[in-house]
Amino acid sequence: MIIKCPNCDGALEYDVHSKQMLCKFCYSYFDENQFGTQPEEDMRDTISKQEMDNPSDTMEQLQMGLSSEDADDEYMESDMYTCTACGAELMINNVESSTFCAYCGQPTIVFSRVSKCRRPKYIIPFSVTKEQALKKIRDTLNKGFFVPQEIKDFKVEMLRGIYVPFWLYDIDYKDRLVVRGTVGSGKNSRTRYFYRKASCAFERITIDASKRFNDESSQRLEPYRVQEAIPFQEGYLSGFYADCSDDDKIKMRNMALGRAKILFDAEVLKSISASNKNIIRSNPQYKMVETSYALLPAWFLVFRAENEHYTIMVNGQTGKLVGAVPSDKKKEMTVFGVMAVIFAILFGIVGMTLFSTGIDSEATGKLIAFIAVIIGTMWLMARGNYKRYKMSKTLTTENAIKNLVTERQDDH
Amino acid sequence: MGVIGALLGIAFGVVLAYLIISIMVKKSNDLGDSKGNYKDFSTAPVVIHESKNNVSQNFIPPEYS
Repeated sequence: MIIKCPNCDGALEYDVHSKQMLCKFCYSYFDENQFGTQPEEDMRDTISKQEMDNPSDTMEQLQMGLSSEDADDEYMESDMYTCTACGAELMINNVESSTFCAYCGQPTIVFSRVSKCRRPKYIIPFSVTKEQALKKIRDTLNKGFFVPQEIKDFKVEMLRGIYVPFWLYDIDYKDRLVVRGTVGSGKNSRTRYFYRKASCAFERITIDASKRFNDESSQRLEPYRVQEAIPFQEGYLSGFYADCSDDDKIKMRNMALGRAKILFDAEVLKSISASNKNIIRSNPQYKMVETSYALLPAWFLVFRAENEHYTIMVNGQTGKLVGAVPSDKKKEMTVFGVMAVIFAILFGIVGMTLFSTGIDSEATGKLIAFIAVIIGTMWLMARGNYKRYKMSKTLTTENAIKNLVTERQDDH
Repeated sequence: MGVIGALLGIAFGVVLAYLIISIMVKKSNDLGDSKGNYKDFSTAPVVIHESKNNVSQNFIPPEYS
């Protein structure tokens, strides 16, 4: 989306360094506030759907479905124009006498449609520039010992800044947990049951609101410093792409509660000194204190290597990278082979020496079992690492995320 | 018994190498897969109101007050 410069009709972009709108044609700076439309005053109040004096809802009540909140949502309308020469899309809020395209300068823009989109309450503007994002990706890949040279030398197919829609949930959460765990070890181990009654307040749990964006990928962009979110103005969008929320609100609300439960349970379990902990009984209760719609920034880099498309993401606020690239198999096997031979010889000699001493059969049996458990544990840990790595690679090469980035108007 | 010890040692060594290579590959090629944790979504710690360390298996918590 592009907003035109009032001085020269060029394309305005949000400048990360100055935190103002910059025209790259005439180098004029503008405050982003002068390009926004103010929503109606009474719509700006955040209304808590669970009043403080009503009883808290339970998880069961949520899953039965609650009424939609669409009636209170704010929407923003913009006139969208398309350039018939270069295909660019421009947002023009005021009636303009000029009909020149901000991209190609041709007098060929025509009215396209009225864009109606849910108006975000907050936005986190980009603080990582395009150049910084690209540099970070290249530097990180270049440091990777097992990253193939073809990938280190990748050519950028597309690098786009996209504001991803998220819902932010403030939740007061409490639960009563009964946990089963094991205390002691060996012959002295026994099962014990623990009870914890606890509560907490979550601030702005982020749930991505785009159906096209895989939830697993969007969660990996976390954490955003959401306390730095500012009131939304359309001006921030200029120069970037922005998606609208299109996911089911009840589903997202359930996801937020599910997320809150996972985070809460993990914290409570830390207070229990036992192993093999399992929650066997719980009764969570919550209160949705505030629900807000926000746009959060992310860079998406698409490149092609080894006949595959890869999409690396960069958190547009913190610079965190998300993605995985394939490994140089030859190098990997060589390093593994060398290490395996060295360790096999070393520990083979140690094992042979240890078991050749005159230890009794009961102790030998226990030692064999202990070593077998260690070997099994290390094997499972290694498999777990490779499984997580494979999952990351799958998300990076997913067609859906590539299409999310590429199926838009051409960038300038 | 020495042969069993040697075989166990060799197995231990090979699996250790497998574990180390898995860590190295993940660190090198997986750019980031962590998600937000509790501290990213809450400034205050979880408050434990009640704590019992040895309840029965069929313990039913009292109703919320």
